[in-house]
Amino acid sequence: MIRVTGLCKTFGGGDAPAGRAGETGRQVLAGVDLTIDGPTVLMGPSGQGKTTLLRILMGLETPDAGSIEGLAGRRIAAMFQEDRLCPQLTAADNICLTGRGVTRAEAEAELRALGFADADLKTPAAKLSGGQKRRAALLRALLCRGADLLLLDEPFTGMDGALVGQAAAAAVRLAAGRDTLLVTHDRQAAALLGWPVTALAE
Amino acid sequence: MPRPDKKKRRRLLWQKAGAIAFWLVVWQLAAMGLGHGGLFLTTPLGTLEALARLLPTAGFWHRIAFSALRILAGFVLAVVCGAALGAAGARWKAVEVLFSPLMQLIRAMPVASFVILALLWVRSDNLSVVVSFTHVLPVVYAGVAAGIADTDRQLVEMAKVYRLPLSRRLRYIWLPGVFPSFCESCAAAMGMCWKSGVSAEVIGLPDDSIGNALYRAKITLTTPDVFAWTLVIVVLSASLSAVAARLLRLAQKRLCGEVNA
Repeated sequence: MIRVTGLCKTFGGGDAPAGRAGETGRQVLAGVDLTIDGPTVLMGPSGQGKTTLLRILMGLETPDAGSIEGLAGRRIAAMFQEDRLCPQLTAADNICLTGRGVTRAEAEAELRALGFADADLKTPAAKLSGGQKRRAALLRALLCRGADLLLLDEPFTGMDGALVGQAAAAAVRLAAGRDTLLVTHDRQAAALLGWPVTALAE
Repeated sequence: MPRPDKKKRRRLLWQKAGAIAFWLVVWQLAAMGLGHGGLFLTTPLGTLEALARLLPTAGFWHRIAFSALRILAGFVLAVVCGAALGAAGARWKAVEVLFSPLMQLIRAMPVASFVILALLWVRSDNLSVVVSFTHVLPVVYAGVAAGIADTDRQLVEMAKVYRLPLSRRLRYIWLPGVFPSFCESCAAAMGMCWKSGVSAEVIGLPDDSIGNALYRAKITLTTPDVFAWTLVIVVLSASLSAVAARLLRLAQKRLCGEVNA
């Protein structure tokens, strides 16, 4: 279990996260409290600091105030707001790169289940479509079996209705038994997961 | 029926061949215009004749081996040191601050000044190793530093979060990021090391070197030999650049292409 208490973060001149350069003196987290015990969906409108909260949990940002208990020693698998796949590697290779204990056959089977054709499995990530990249990035996090904390940032972006259902089912199956924080603003996708939902207060 | 890209490539090849033929004609006409039996400018045919005369001699191949071994030794040493220093400079600011003025100085220094200084420190036999090394080093150093700066920071963050082992970070994130700029700098440096290495030999005059042969051809007014040796240097430099680029591409494909799972 991870307990976040009174987390605050303000971005000054030069320390805004990727994609938010130029924001000055903006408080993105103001005393956030959150408990992650098993799978949890965190909802909230854009710009409320959900990504910043994830980046703090990933150890990529330092909070200005507040505390996080239960994070030390945890192995994290993450799906970022961007796909962050190695462009020269195939989707399966990207999964095998980070996944401890996952075989290429398993990775390819899961990719097929999410709509990858044989030709897509041989294609470098750079040449995959946006939706395919997103699915590969989701599976990379879910198939990282050595990880005991999954942090998933808007995993269903760019997927259509049927695929969202399949991806949500994969998330439920593969994240089972692990602490998971899934951030989304998509109510329908959150409902498909059937996980407890926490709203980030404005 | 040839595919459009094949057709396009073939047309480009013909255009290049046409451009070369045009300049050969210009060269031939200029040589004929200057006259004096090719003393000032040998004809293309005269150059080929001189080359044909040199080719079967043992001395020709001995000189090529002598110069190539030394120039390439300098090149390889500089690539190793330049890559290590470039990586260290990107990792530790102090290394970058320390080495930047030195690299700038080497880049700005004329080959002749460096050769004259180097002659005080090393025997003329090994001069081309030192000169080739010093001219390649800053190019590779800058190429590696630029490649590291160009590496995708988002992938670096991803590797940090997933706690990827250093070997995997190097192989799948840093190497693919650095390789394009490293390859480019190596190809450019290969041309530079031949230019600077042979220039050093022309000044230092080590026996059995290409530079020595070039100098002797000049003082004996054997202009066709000057052209023939120059042609040899150009061909060696261009073909070794192409070989180096191909080897590096193969290495990139082999090293960064597939994950063992």
